[in-house]
Amino acid sequence: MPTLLELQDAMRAQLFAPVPPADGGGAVGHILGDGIAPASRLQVHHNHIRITLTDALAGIYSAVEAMVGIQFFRAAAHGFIAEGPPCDPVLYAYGDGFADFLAAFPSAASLPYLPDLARLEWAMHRSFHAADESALTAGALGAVPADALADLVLRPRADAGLVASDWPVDALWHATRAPESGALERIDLVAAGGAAILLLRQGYDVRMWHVPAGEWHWLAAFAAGQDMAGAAAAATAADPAFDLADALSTNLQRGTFAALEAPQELKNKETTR
Amino acid sequence: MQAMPQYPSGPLPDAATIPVAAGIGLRAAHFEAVTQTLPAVGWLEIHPENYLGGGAPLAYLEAARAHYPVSMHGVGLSLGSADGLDPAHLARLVTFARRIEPGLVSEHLSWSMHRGTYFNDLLPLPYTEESVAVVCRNIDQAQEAFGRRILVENASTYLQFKHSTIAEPDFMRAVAEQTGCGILLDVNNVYVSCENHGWDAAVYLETMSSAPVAEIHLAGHAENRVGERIVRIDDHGSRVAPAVWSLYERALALLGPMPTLIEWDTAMPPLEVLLAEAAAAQCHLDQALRHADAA
Repeated sequence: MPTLLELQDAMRAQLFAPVPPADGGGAVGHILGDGIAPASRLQVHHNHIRITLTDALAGIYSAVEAMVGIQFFRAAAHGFIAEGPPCDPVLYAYGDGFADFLAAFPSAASLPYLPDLARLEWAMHRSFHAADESALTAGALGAVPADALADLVLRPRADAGLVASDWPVDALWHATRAPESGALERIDLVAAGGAAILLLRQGYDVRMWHVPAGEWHWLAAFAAGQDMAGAAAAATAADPAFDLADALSTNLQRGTFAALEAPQELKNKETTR
Repeated sequence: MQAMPQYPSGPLPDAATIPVAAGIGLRAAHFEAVTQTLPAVGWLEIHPENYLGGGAPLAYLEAARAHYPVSMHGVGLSLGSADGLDPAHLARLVTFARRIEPGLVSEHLSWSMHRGTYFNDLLPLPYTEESVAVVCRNIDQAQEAFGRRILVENASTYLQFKHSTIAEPDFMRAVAEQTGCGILLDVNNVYVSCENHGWDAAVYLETMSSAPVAEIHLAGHAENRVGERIVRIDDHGSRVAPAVWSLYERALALLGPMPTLIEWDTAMPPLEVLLAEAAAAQCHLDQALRHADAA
């Protein structure tokens, strides 16, 4: 008779194995048949785990699923689940790294835009679940003496997300929302070029903006904890025509920033390139 | 885009108690419909794990909480884990409970976490003296942390272990006696497990009549063919089965009227369908309440 710990060890080994449990050893040996093969009984749980985790991933990566179809998506999700089962009962944090998995997934090699589309969806998911933060106002910014500004950081809100890609992943994402419209077929992946995207949650919805390259690097620098001077340098390096005044007023209006702060070490802000 | 809800200040409504009435599970598919239409149900049940990420889901919950008592029904605490509860998860749940002030706190008689892996499934336990001890130790720890009594729910099971020595309802009753916890009797799960294993549902309910049952769950289940046999699967994806309604009626007669939840978690229907199920449960409850008054 196994101890409970031994039994749970044996079940864990079989439930996350890539192949369904087989009759014989392990946890299956402790299961009563009663008219059904013990392995088939354990397989109910093996299936349930894969189905519900695949559903959870499909909830986050719905555009990826729409692009590749449910069968392809399932195969990818099952591979991802077998590689790294969840470690936290709060499942909203599960699915990070699916983009990297897709980048290394041999069957997805002919779809080079797929990992970045997944990165966009993960950033949207993070934004949806981020804490509420009120936006920094132009008045609060105006109250800071001009000579102090260069050393300060405009910290983006917790729900701000930044994604950049060599592929038009925002257009792809929008096209998957309306599969009947033919929008997906009309996208010329090469001619459309890349996308630099800012995400913010407004109320219950995550909104997406296609921003100029200089502005994207400016925001990414702030997200990484750089000060005003460093962010402006990063923006100008990416785009010599970067217009600081325009970027500042546009983002104050959007409510991109939460606070004006002293610079800190690099933060764990979600910035995906 | 919608405006964010305005939260009223002051105490939450009926914070202390879940009424003896039918309630529904609040799920993401119905966030907008519930917060906008405020349907006439007695209470809402939530899975705390869906809100611990914060953001929009938590904002919806708080908008709903301003109008309804809420029961907090965990799915990830894993009371049956031999390697103990995850202290970080327990601490998050305790903080969350302080924030939403649930009328009831419940979890399952099963395990879903082991050595840092989360299974996203309610896995069955062998019903042994060792399991009683493990579950009691974990319930004691949870009740201590929450500073209150919790309810423990019978799960649907699809397999039994050769070395089980205790019948499930006796196991539930023993755990309640030793820890002082209450029981959340899932009548659909009673039906599913009894059908799957050839147990006697009447005996199960009879045993529960001398146990501290404080809440009832109802849900739909699916029938899967495995080889020559039908295995009933607790998928919460359809209306409550007629046989489960009959069992519910018998449970109310034996146990008396009590808060009853309609659970629906997969193949989500329009809110109206869920409300119709809750109305049907409310009819049974009203009848049981009249009987209780007359007695």
